[in-house]
Amino acid sequence: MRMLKILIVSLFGFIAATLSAHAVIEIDITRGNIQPLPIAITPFVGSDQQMTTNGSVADIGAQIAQVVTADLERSGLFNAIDPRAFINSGNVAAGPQFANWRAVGAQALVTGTTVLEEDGRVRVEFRLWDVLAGSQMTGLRYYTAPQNWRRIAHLISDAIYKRLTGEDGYFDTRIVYISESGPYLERIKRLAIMDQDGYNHKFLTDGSYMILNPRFSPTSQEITYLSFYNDTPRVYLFNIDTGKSEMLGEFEGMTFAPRFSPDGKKVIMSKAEQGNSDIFVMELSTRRVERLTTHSAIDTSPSYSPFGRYITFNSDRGGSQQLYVMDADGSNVKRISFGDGRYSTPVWSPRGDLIAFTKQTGGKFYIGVMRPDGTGERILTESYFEEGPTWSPNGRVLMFYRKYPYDNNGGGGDTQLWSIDLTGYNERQILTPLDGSDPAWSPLMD
Amino acid sequence: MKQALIISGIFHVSLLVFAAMDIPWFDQVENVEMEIIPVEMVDISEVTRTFEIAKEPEPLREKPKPPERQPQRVDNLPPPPPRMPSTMPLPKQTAEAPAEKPKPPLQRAEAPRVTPKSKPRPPSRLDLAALRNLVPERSLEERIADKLGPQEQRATSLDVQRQTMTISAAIRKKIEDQCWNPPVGADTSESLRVTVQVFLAPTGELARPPVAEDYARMNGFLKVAADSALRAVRMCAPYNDINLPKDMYDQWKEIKMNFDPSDMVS
Repeated sequence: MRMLKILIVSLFGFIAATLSAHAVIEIDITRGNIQPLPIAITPFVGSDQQMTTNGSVADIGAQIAQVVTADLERSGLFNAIDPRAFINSGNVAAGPQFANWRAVGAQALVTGTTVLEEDGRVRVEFRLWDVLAGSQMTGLRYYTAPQNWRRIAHLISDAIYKRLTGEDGYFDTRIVYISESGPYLERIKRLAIMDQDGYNHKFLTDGSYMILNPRFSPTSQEITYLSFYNDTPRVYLFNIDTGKSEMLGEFEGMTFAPRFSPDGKKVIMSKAEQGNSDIFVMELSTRRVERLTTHSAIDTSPSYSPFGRYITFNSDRGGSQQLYVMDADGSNVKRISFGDGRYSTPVWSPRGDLIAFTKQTGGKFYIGVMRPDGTGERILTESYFEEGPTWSPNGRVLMFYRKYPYDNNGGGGDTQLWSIDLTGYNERQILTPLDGSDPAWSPLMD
Repeated sequence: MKQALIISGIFHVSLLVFAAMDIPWFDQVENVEMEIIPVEMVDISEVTRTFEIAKEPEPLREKPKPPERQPQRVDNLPPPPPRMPSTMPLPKQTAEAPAEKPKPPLQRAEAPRVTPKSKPRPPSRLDLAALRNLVPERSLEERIADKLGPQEQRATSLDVQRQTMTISAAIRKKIEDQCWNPPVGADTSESLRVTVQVFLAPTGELARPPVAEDYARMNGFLKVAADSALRAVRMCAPYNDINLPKDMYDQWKEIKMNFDPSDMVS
C-alpha cells in the first residue's frame, strides 16, 4: 500500500514537472545587425593646478580621452558619441549616472582620472562601464612619465578593445615604412617609423641610399630590410632601440624580400642568381643558410605561418605568378591560388586563418585574403595600383600602400598608406609627412 | 497479485497521460483535423480569436437539453445538484462539471438541465474549493480544456501552442531586428552559442536582470558573445509593444533565449 502511495505521489510530481517544463518559451536568436558599438568616452578628470612638463594633468586627461576615442573609432567597431551630447561628464567619485548615458544612446562608457604623483609621474586610471547593465566591465591603473601619456592612451584603447571584442588590440603598435620624396626618376627612399595612428614620426635613415622591404620582427623591436648601401643590395637587421644595424651576410647575387620567422630567430628571403630566384632561410644565431626551393621559375615573397610549420610564397612555375604553400623544409609544394590574374606578396595572418595577397587582373590591383588551402578568396580593396599588405598583430586589419600613377606604366604619382579591416568596409588613409610605401606593422610593444 | 495489477494499471495510465501531454506528434497523429494548422498559425491577431473559436462549440453541447423529460428527474434526484456548483461561476458552460470530475456520462446530461436554476449555487462553492485543493496549479491550457469537451481539448492545446509560437516569433523578430549586435571579431572555429534566461514582469518589463548560463566561467570571445546577448535583451526591454496576452503570462514570464552568431560571423 505504501508503494502505491509513493507511486501516486511520484506520478503527480512527474506530471507537475512536465507541465512546468512547458511554461518556459525557448527562442533561438541567430540573426542581428552588426553595427559599431555606441561608446561614450569622457575626458579623464584631473586637476588644473597639477602641472607637468606636458601641461596640467587635466590637459593630459582630456588628450588621453581624445586619443582613445580616435583609436576606437578608427577600428570601425565603435561609434564614439559626440561629447557635446553628454548630459553630464560624470562625477567620477560618485559613479556614473547610467540613466543619463542611456539617454544619449551609449552602451559602453569610459571614465578616468589623471593624478600627479609625488615622484613626478602621472597616475592614470580608467574604468569601462556597461551602461545597460549598470556595472563595471574592467578597470586599470597606469603610472608613467608625463611625456608618455600617448602610449598610455593606446594601452587603454587596447584594454577596452579586448574587453568589448574578445580580441587583442593593436593600438600600442608602430609602423615602419618607406618614406618617399623627390621626382619620379630620382626618388629618395628613407626608412621611417611612427605610431600606428601616425604620431611620433621619425626617420631612421638619411636617404643617401635606398631602402626597400622593411619587415618587423614578430618578437622584438627589430627590423629587417633591403638596403642598397654602396649600391649593393643586401639584407640588413636594424635594432630600433639601439639604432644599430648589421648586414646579414654576403650573398652572391641579389637578396630581397626578407621576412622574419614567427620566433624571430630566422630570416627567410629570396635570392636571385642569373635571372632566377629561389627561397633561402638564414638562422640568425649561426648565420647558416639553407636553400628551400630549387626551381627554374622565379620563387619569391616567402612568409611563414604563425607557428613556423609552413611557408607561403609566390612563383611563376605554373606559367603565371601564383601563390603556393610548402612545408617549412621546402617539401610538399602546393599551389593555392587559381583565380584569374596574377597573385603576389602573400602574407600569413598572425591568427593563421588567412593569407593576404596582392592580385592584379584587368588593369587593376586588389588586396584580398584567402584561406591557406586556397578557398574562400575575398577581395577587400581595389585601385589602379596597390600592393604590399601587412597584418596588424591581431590579424584583423591590413595596411598596404596605394599609388596614383601619372602614366599607364604605373610611374610617378602620390603614394599613400591605407588600412582596411577584414570586413572590407573600414578603409582609411594613414597620413604621413611625405609619400609612404611598403608598410610593416610591429607586434604589440612590451 | 492485486497490488501488482494496480501498480501496473497506474503505470499504464501515467504513460498514456505523459504521451498525450508531452509528445506533440502523439497528439497530431490522432488528430484528423491537421488542415487547421496552416490556416490559423500564421496570423498574430489570432491570439484573441482563438478564444472565440474555442467557445463556439458550447452551444452544440447544449443540444442534449431538448429532452424535456429529464428536467423532471432533477427533482427526483437530489444528489446531482451538488456537482453543478463547480459550473456555477460560468453559468453557460455546463460542460465543466464532467470535465473536472470524471463521472459517468449520464450525469453530464443532467447537468445542463439544472444550470438555469440559480438555487444550487451556494453548495457549489464548497466543491470548487475542494477541487482547487486537489489540483494545486493548473495551466491555462488545462483551464481552457476544462471548459471544453474531449474533442475540443486537442484543438485547444494546439491553439496554446500556436499562441506560444506567435509570442516567440514576435520576441525573436524584435531582438533580431532592433537589438542584437552580434560579436564580430570572433574566431569562427569557436562555438559562441549563449543561453540567456529572461524574466518578464506582467507589464513586459524585465522582472529581474537577465542571466547568461555559465557566465562566471566564461572568458574571451564567449564572454563577449554573452555580453552582446545580455545587452540585446536589455536594449529591447520593455516588451510591452509586443502583444503579449496577459492571460498567458505563465507561458511567457520566463523565456530562454539561445543566441548563436555562427551564421553571422564569417
